[in-house]
Amino acid sequence: MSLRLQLLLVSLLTLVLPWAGCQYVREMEDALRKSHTDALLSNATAMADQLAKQEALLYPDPRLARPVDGALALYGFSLRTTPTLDGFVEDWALGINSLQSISGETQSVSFALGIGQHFAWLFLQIEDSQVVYSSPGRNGDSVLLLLEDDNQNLQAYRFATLAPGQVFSQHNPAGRPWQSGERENRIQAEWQPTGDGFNLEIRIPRNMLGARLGFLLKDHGDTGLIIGSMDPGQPEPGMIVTPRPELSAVLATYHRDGLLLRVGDWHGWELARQGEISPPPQRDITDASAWLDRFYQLILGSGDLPRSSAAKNGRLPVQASEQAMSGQAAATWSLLAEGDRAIATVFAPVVVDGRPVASVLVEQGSEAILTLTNNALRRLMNLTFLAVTAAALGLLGLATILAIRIRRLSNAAEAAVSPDGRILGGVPGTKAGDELGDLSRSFAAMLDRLQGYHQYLETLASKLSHELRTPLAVVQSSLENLEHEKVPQSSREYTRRALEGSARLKRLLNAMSEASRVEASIKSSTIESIDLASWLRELGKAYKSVYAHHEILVAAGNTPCVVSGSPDLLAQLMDKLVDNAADFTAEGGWIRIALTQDDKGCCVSVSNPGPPLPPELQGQIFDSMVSQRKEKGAKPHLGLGLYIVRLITQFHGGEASADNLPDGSGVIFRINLPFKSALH
Amino acid sequence: MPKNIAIVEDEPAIRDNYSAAFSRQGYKVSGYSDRKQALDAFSVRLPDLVIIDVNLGDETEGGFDLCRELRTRSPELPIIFLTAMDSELDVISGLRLGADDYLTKDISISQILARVGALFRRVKALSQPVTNDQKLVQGQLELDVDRLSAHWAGKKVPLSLTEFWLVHALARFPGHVKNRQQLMDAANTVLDDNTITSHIKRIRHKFCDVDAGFEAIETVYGMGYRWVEA
Repeated sequence: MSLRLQLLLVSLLTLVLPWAGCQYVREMEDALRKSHTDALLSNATAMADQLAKQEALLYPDPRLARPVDGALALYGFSLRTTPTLDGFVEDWALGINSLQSISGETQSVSFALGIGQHFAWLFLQIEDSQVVYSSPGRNGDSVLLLLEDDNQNLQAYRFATLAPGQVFSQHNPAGRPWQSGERENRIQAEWQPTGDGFNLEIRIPRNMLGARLGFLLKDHGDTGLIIGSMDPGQPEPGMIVTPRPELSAVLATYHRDGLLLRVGDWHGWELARQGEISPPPQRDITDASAWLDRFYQLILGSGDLPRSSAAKNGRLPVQASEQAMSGQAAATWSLLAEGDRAIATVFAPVVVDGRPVASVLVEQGSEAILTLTNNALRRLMNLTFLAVTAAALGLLGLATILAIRIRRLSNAAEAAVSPDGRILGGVPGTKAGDELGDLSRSFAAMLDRLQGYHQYLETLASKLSHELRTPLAVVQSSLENLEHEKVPQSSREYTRRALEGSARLKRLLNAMSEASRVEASIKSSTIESIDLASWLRELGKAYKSVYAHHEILVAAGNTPCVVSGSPDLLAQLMDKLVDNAADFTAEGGWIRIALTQDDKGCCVSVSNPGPPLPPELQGQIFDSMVSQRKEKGAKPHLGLGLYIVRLITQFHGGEASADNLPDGSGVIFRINLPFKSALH
Repeated sequence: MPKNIAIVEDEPAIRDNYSAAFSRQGYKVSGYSDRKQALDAFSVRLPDLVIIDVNLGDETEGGFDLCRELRTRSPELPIIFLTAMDSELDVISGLRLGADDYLTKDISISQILARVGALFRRVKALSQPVTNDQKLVQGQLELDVDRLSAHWAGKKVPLSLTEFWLVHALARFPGHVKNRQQLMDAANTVLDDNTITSHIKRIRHKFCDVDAGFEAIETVYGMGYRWVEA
């Protein structure tokens, strides 16, 4: 794993900061919500206490205060318009979710009750897989209304029809509601078939309707199934619950902007309502803080707030009202079904004589994340966010810089030593004051020491030869003086041998210091352009006369091959190669000098028949003091000749290689020289 | 009257050996082991020829300093450097200081005697009238073998003894290639190939100082050098 990756991972640790920030904000959020709902709750409780003293306002008719057995109470919406009697509910302008539903085995019915100025309207939407109309002698589907008139007497009205359209009710005796009765023209209905059943919109004059109303729907046939708002066996109409404008007036005293106050009866029907949940503030979408808010909402989340379920029109949230009716005051938070607004819902029971009789509900809309409404906290968040980003970027930048420096150092360390172990250069960054600088300096010091040692080794031969020259001179001059002394003839022989030995020693010393002298002349050499082709032809002629006992073959070609270099040094290189070849070639053998070129440079090769190169010498034949000669010749050999070849080749930016000829008959030395190169 | 030769050499064995060899030839020899000793003696009387070791005891380049001081006293005094140091740089610095020759310690005694003799001949010839017999003239080159002096286009070229003999060997037979061995023989010295190369380089340089267009010495790669007629 790269250092940058590691540091990047470490920099992820800085994310702990925003995480901690988020935790803090969430706790803050809880506290803020708590205080928010506490305020609302006290408001709600005060309202509930107020209402408890005015039970008459809640339930003008005491029968409203408790359920009627086996009957549903019907909620009467206040109609602001006068609908047309057409079998459709859309013109009631109730809003969505206003219908209540009852399901039976084969039928189901959705219904709504509307109270207008002169009429009450009952809308039934019946789903019936098989709608059967009445015909003479046969009972079809029918609807029964049971209502209490102003004198609290029950009246039954039945609707059945031969065909869709206007239907008049039949006033039946309350005891036998399903039988045919007198036609009652004042209560009309419209029977409207639909795709999966039919609609029945019934209009009842207000003066015929008292406090209670119920309906039953009977499937066709005498034993048809009956469903409806009443118990089919013992039909008793339920109470009609209507909003109380007087209550709204009471609520108005508690109302503040942005609050929605509602009062529900024991069953959760909305008795009064005041105010509206404030709409979300209009935001400029290009405002940077709006985007930031969205970002915070994204990372903070909206907590574990549930989405509020769509509430029935005219009803308080079921859960809230049920909980309130069990005597508890409580607060919940939920998200609006759409958008990112949250609703604080607070409810309190209205307790009369120790019994909850109604509920008060206070709702207030707010930002989903309250913290964001607090400017100081928002600034804190912004700053934290900025700080974390800066820290992460800083760490990443530092990691990158470190990685680059380390890579540079490692590259330099690799490049500082050539493949054959020579020290080529130093390492960068030794001025930096940190640990990497220390490392660089250690590297540099190590390289210096290595280079010193290397130089010591490289110059050992020349130093040694230098140091040996003085004692050698002592020996030689003493022997030469001795020749002029009178010594017995028998001793002369020893003197001669000693002189021969010292002469050989001298040649050895010269060979040893030659390499260092080549290095010195490389430093002072002058560079010019040489056409290797004509240069080799000239050299070939010279070699032909020098190596008269060998057959010198020159294949230089006629194409000019121009490289830049020092002709003196290159001639010295060729001298060494040809000399080397001549040493290994028997008298009369051939030595072939060839020049080839490709698009990169020239290749000068010297090949000769002779023993193949031993494999253990491959790759180090050009090193100092490496020799493959087995027999001792007259000339001293220290294995420095090919080392000089390498020195000169390297100076010209080229490469020297030695191989056996493909057929194994001899060896070939190749010097590759680039056309243009920076000389070193 | 025997010539006075001073040997400044910190190695007693070599000093004594050379002294013995020179004495045998009839020279009067005095040996000194360091620069101070030599300077003290030279302030009384200058010798006729000085052989100086570059490395004198603790002074690694004491010989160079000594040479410099002697040259200020006497521009004509023949000075030979004798040293174990043999790098091209040492040779050049020695000769720049005005030494007449520069020999490595492995030179044989007979060779050193020949050099000394030649130098004395040059000194003697310089004090005698010019005779045309001993002159070699090749184009613009004029070599006076007696005086061991060289002129190019009428201007004196300050060649050292070895350099003089190298030029002489080349110029005697223009167009002939002289290999390194032949050149060494001519200069009556044992030098390795590299030293010959640097000698030739320096000779060219000295001629070029006189005439920037000097191209009379040509390198024949793999073989040696030759003198070409302009």
